[in-house]
Amino acid sequence: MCPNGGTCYPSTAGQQWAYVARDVQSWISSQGWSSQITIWAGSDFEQRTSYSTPDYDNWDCPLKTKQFVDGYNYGGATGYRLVDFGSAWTGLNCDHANSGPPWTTNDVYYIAWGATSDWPLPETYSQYAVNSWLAVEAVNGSQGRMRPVGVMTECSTGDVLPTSNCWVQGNGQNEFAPRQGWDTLRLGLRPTYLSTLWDYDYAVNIKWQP
Amino acid sequence: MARMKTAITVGVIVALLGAGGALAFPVVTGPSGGTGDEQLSPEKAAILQAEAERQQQAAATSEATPLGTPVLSCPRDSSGDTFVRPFDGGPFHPKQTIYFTNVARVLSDPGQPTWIYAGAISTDRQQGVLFVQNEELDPCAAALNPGDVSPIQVFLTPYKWGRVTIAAVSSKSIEFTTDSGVKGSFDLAAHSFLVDGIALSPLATPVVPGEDTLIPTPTVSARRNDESIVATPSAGIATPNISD
Repeated sequence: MCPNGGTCYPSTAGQQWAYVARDVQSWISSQGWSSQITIWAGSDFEQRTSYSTPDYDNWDCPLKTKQFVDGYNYGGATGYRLVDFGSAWTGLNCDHANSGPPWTTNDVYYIAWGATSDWPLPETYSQYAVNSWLAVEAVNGSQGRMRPVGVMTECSTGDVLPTSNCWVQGNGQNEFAPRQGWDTLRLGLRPTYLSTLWDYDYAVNIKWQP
Repeated sequence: MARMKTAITVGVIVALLGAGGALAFPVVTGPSGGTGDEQLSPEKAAILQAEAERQQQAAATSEATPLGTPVLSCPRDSSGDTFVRPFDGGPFHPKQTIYFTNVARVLSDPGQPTWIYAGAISTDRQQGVLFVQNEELDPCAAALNPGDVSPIQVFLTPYKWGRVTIAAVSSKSIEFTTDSGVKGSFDLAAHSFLVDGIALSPLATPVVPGEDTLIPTPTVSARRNDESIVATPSAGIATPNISD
């Protein structure tokens, strides 16, 4: 995502990502399709879930991620949503030396909803994953309720996806299917928002294959 | 910034994640309360408004091109790779994918790729099976005429050898092993199994798996198609449980 390849600051990469969304939307409009297609950018913002190898190498610290988000939001191409289809794990130190500042619910809230163009599409592949997003809402919802556009899971099987557990080739486990994640997240929010529970528009899946 | 879980992760979302997007599909919504728009920040509300205005303006433009214009033909290169790889999904109901092992793509005839899925049927792990389907040479034409889609042919192993795993492929046959240690081949043209020099017909008439129909477990009434062949199971081959 850096200009002309190579390396760049995270904020520059975020800015370029917004340019991609803008340019693709422009092309869609030039084809006369924008009444039917709207372009959103997306990113799999995730956090480590353990200190074991290779997890520490996979996911960045909150500072770098927020710099990317800020570059997207304030780099000049505004008005295109940035969908965070990642996780909400908090509490573990984040860098290679296990000494970086842990992700907090504040951090997740900011990259998923606090920044202007950002919308959450929570990864809800397990009860634990759902609970991690519920924790963010519980702690930070007073700043403004998050409004997920939907949920995402990572089933490896093809269509038609099951409504309950599905097989995930990437980790060899059975996990939540899209509908299951969608129901579980709404069920978790129901006690708090009994009368004003959002309808999420989408339950989507992305195959995780090694 | 988070690194990508897979190479396609971000690209897919950017390509189309909107109404009618490739990965997005609407789901039945449950009981709901208010819309909640009053809680959106002015900046977020402005983004939603901008999206809506773009869509409305385009809809009002006479030059708008309907997306639904069908593509009548999209023939593709029928050469490509011959390979064997772990099963990673296929044209099957998820309930039927539990016992698949691997999948192969071969060029059985010049210009006609064929896919072979190996495993066991979902209702009986001991009953090995091969699913064979010709690759669509023109998927767009096939999509417009569902009756022309190549059927999936199902070939049950003659005996309950356990799951089948494809070991190697050639243009006319595949070599396989099974959970019980049987090694043999399957002739893609003759649709017969060959084990220890003995040709064996598949156990039952091929059936086409449907979304809600599991491949039925063979019953005792199922017979080998070719009664003239007497199979002598080798050591390690499970004793057939079919009574003639």
